[in-house]
Amino acid sequence: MTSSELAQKKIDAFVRDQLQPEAMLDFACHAALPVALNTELLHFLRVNFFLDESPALPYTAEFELLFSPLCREIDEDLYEVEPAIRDILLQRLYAMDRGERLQKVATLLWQYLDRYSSWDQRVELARAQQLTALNFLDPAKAEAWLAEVEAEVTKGAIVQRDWSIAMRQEISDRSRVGCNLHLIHRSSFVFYAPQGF
Amino acid sequence: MKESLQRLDLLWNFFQKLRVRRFELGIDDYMALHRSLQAGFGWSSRQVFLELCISLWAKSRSEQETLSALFEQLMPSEEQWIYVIPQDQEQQSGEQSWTRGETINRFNSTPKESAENTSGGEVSVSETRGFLPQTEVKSGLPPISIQGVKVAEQPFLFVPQLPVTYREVAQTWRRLKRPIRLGAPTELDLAATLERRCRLGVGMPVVLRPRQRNVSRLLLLVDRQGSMTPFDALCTEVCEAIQKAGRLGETAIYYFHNVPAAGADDRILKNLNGQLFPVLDSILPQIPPLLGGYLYTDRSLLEYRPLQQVLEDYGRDAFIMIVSDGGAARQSYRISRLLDTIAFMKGLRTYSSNYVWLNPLPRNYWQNTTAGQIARHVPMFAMNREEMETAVNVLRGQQYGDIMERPL
Repeated sequence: MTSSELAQKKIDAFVRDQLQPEAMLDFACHAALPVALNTELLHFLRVNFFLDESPALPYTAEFELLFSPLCREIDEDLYEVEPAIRDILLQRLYAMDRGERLQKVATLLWQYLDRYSSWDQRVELARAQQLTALNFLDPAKAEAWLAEVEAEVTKGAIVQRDWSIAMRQEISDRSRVGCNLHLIHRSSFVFYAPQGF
Repeated sequence: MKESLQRLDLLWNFFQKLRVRRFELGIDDYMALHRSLQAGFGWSSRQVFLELCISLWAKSRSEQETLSALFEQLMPSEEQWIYVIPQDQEQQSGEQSWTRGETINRFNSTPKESAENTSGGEVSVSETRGFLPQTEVKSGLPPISIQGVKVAEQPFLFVPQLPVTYREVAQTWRRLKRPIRLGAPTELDLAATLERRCRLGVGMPVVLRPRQRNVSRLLLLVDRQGSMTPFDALCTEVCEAIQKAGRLGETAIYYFHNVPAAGADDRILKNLNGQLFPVLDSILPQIPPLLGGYLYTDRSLLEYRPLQQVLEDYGRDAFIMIVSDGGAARQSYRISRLLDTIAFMKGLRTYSSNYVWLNPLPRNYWQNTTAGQIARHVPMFAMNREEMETAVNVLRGQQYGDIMERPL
């Protein structure tokens, strides 16, 4: 079984356990955009995109997603969505409206980092998040910024070599979002009736 | 007619979104805004209308922030909110005045429409007022600028929307009182004054008595980190509201991780004969009280104090509230955690019998978890307004036998 198939199985299992399967899957798609999540950022994603839906997602949706197989805890109050799962979820987010919602989530991420983030002391994480957001808003600009950093790393002016390699991979992976729409569309997800129905 | 309906629709939508965010607003509040508009308030500009909404509907700083953010999202832009100076009025008064009809027209246009009227639904970030400023350098990595990038113009809401509000918690916990008259006599005792006047039949000075004070003490024991991390904002809000606005005589807060006391003698579990999902009912009387553990004075769980010392200082005859998910978040059932918890609760009872447990998860998440079993023995309530009201009632002495299957 490929990592992509395994990821799809995990997503299907997650959806199957939910009372609001489609809304929860959409929520997971939004949460897949940042390279890492904290509870506050996830809360703001729900508040801004899922509170006015009918029915709205309750606050328990946040912990259900964080403690689901889709996320793993990598530090105190820091979680990440597995890369293979993230790819699928981001494709779906793009497929919602050909990238419009994806841009909104990226804008929210940027605004959050700019105004409220508690990652000021973790500059590499903050930059990774900013670069991810910028990559969805203006890929050329993100590419140019990263190329500049890589050049500085080569010269030895910047020490974050591992970081730049990881981000190159991230930018490369994310650039595929929107290109593989034939692999993923809304009907490919199986929605199960909530328990008791 | 159509414009009027559109305007009502926009206002009503705004009002409903506030209600979804737990603003305590009723139809009277909605009509208050209408009456204010009819009286001529709030027409002159977008900012003035926002201030009117804030003054009528927002009752705290956080509500003000939420309302402002939603207003930014829903209402037409400032440029759309223009006014005209009617010639006849200008001639009469010599001053500018706002034309209500024109304002209504502008007010009717939706954000989408207004976005379409500007640069094709997008706005250059560099044109907005410090919308996405450049970041500052903090490491070897250079700053990333988003200057000039075109992004959708949508202000986002960055105010937490919790299932209970600060005000709801404060109002609920203000009912927890242990009134005692203390201090110098400064309050008129009307009944005693009348009684003395009637008894003696002559005019006498009034009878004074000390004022009533709430001397209730509350000890908060809060589970932190691990499975409680997603509920940190909610628990913090609830505890802060109780401490700062609950008007209790004295409150103390200590933290723990998973269980306040650990290390109960598990040999007692052998009597359960290896059940798959054992319950403690049959050995409940044999579980000895447990007070060997540490509580932390800080949220990072670094500075600790012995549990027994804390209970000596704050626990005697105090109200005690435990905040924990009891294993419900991870949907786990661990008999050792249940045993430690029950042993701790028995130890706690030697200091005070006034205790409740608040669980940040709704009741349907407790089933088949350690929390579900704890709730059979300890008065446990979900962290919403209705259940917190019941929790306060229990602390005030209401019988709670029907709440639990097997009280300790």
